Amino acid sequence: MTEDFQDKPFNIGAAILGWVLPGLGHMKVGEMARGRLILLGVGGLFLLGVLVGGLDCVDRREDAMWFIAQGGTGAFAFATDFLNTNLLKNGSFGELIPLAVQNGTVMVSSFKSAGPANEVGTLMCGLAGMMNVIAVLDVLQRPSRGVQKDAQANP
Amino acid sequence: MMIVLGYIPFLQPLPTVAHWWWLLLIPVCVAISVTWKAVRLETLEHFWRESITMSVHAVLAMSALAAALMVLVRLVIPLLSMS
Repeated sequence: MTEDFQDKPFNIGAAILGWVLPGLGHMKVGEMARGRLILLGVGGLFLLGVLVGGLDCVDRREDAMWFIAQGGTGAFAFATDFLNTNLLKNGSFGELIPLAVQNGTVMVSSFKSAGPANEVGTLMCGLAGMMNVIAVLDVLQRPSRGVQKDAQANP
Repeated sequence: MMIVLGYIPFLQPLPTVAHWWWLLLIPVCVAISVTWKAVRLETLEHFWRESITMSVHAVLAMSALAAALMVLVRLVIPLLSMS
């Protein structure tokens, strides 16, 4: 068992790439088709979440706990949070409207999502992040395609 | 109607989603199955068949769970409170 553990590769570079862009880590180790399918699954789920909930469903400051899960998608989550902050929260798109809260009034974007749309969108982006964590953990110990072929040729 | 006409995809939340949000279970199951099978399968020879089978299983299981919970909440629990 110790030998099995020692034989397994530790692709930290591929894992980082896989976190930055879903599927890229698998592409780096030569699993191009697998990488494309991961990009389709994770990226599709994340984009569907943003389509349903709007940009506001990814918010690093207001929904920090959710962002831990969403952050698993790497560039997708950080780019969406950046766009949310710079397009919606500063009023570049839509308008800032007053919202009564417990301690007074805060200004929020008229594009801010609420209700089922926000809940489902946030959940989808979180699920996408968690699925990508599984893909990253997989690529961390996946032998590269060339090594696999060598092992098959010389057992 | 005006809300739908003024809708900007990806910037604003999808209008009217409150009425059919539960249908989004299907694309969620498909996306999770595609990712899971891409990671777990040794070869991608039967990838789409495996993914669709897993999606169908997940949707059916969730639907059965929802039906069971509905029976529990609407039938069994009211009977308990009456007795």
